[in-house]
Amino acid sequence: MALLRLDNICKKYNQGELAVMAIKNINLTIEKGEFVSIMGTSGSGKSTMMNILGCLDRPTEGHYFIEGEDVAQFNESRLADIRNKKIGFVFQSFNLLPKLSSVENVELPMVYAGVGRKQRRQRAVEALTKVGLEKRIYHKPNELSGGQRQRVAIARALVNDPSILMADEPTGNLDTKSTYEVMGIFQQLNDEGVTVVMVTHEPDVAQFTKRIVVFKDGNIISDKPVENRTLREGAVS
Amino acid sequence: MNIYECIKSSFFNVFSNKMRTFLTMLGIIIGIASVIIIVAIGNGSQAAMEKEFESFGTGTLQVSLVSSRDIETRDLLTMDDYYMLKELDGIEYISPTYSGSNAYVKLLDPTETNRANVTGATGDYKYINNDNVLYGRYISDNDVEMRNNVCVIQDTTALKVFGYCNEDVIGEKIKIKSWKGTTKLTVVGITENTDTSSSNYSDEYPENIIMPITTCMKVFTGSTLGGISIVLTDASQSEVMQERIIAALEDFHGNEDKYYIMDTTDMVESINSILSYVTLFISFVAAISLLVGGIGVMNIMMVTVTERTREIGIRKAIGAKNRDIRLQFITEAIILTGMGGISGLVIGYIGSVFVGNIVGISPVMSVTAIAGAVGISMLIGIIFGVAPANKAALLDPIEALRFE
Repeated sequence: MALLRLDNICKKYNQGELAVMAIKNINLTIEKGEFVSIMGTSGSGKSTMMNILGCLDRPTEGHYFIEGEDVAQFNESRLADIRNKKIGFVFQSFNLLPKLSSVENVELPMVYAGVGRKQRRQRAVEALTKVGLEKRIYHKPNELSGGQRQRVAIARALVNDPSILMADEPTGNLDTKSTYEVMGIFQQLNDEGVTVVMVTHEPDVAQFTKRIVVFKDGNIISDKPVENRTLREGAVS
Repeated sequence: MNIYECIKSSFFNVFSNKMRTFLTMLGIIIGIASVIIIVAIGNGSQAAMEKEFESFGTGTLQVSLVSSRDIETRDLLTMDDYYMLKELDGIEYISPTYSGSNAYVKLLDPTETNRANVTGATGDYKYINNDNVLYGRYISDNDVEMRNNVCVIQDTTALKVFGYCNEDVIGEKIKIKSWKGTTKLTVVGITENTDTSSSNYSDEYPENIIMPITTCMKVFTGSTLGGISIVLTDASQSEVMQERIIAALEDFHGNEDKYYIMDTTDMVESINSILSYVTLFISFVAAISLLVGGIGVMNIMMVTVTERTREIGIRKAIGAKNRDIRLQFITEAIILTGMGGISGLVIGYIGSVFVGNIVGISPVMSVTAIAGAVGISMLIGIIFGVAPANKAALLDPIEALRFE
């Protein structure tokens, strides 16, 4: 059974009289353990794709199976549950809550999952340790660098042990050094078995992944494995 | 998300902008404080009023002459009326009353006097006035008949006149000064002064002295009664008895429409109802200020939701359900108004003591008012928090995340 399977997914937006098809009849399967990048120019439909994959939005037509369960027409509350337990999000602009410390930010998904206080703290610290921020757990986002903030966001995405990690231009706001750091973390997590789907428009960032799906005008125009993959320092190929 | 987490996070958010929180709460604080002050002072004056009438004795009928110009000599109430009414059926206690005017009692320091309220009555007055005899005895019908120069004073008066209050006071003499000169009266009894409130009346007449009506009329050279106080055997028969008493008096004097009877129970009731109307009206005005405060809270909550659109988007993206978001914002509104309510309660309490001091009424705090104030302020939080909370809950996560 595929981890994610999209079956004839369409998304239509009504802009006044005009109905715009953002994505058309998309069929896509992602297996467990994959590291996929979704590429395309702006307006290609890759963001719409990401929103549907991340259960932030519902497709107008088609079926979307996550671990065999069709979530395409789930109601708001059940989608929230899926986002909480099966999906981990990493955003371009980090999207951390500025008034909370790193560890409190990482605890947040567990608050909504109903995890107890002690266990929450323990798991949040573990997740922060995993991304190398064990010394920054009480820092507020504005006391951290961009790369560190994104690592906090990754820890937050991982902490509920999701089936899939969704990253939307995760390196878009980072310098080259931090980009390498963050992509290295994604590769390492993927090596440990985490499935990662990432939207990017930077080809060199996509080179870190294993498979590139290219969108254009709402269609998939190319879907192939990455050759000459960029590997993080110290990785065993 | 459990309720504990929700409350904790709401407190965090409310306190992260202290100035705004304070200004938002101000409307509620003022509203609740004014309600508390009004209710406490209202209850206080009601209690003071009841106390005043209690010493009078509720359920008492006061027979008096109407105040009008065409009163003739034959209409005046005299002791004969008392003896006549005394024979009527259905009367438990009856006492004629006569008030000595402009009387002063000499205090321990012979150069000092205090204004006194001197009442002439009969033995039954003890029951009409609900007097509790501490030492000695009350005036008796024998005193009335013999025009004895005796009196009953209150414990507070005894302290001021003799410097002590015990059995030894009985048999001592007090001096009453009036325009007629000084009269010496032997104290035969001491009653308890139950009037603890400081009303204007008790300030003006600090001493209450009761003496046989005949003696009183002799001292103050009066021949007509101030009135006749009656306690009925059956209070529910008040209306029937009032008619019978009036009829008997009119028959006795051969006149019409010269007498009226005041039922103190009715009077307390009507004063209370006026007071409660006044309280109700002022409370209504205070309720409007609460409403305005509530709208202020709603306004700020709306602004907060807009400001925190992105946060709401983030929370939704990581798994917050609509109801989690709604609960959080309603909780924040309740915390705002609830804290405002509690602060208003404290300020209202202090304020009512302060206002009470100025107007001379001891404020009465009721548990109902306190619970009501806190309850109502929280209710305002719920009512005015729902709209902003719904706005927050129904935000589209994608739109919210895009918000700058």
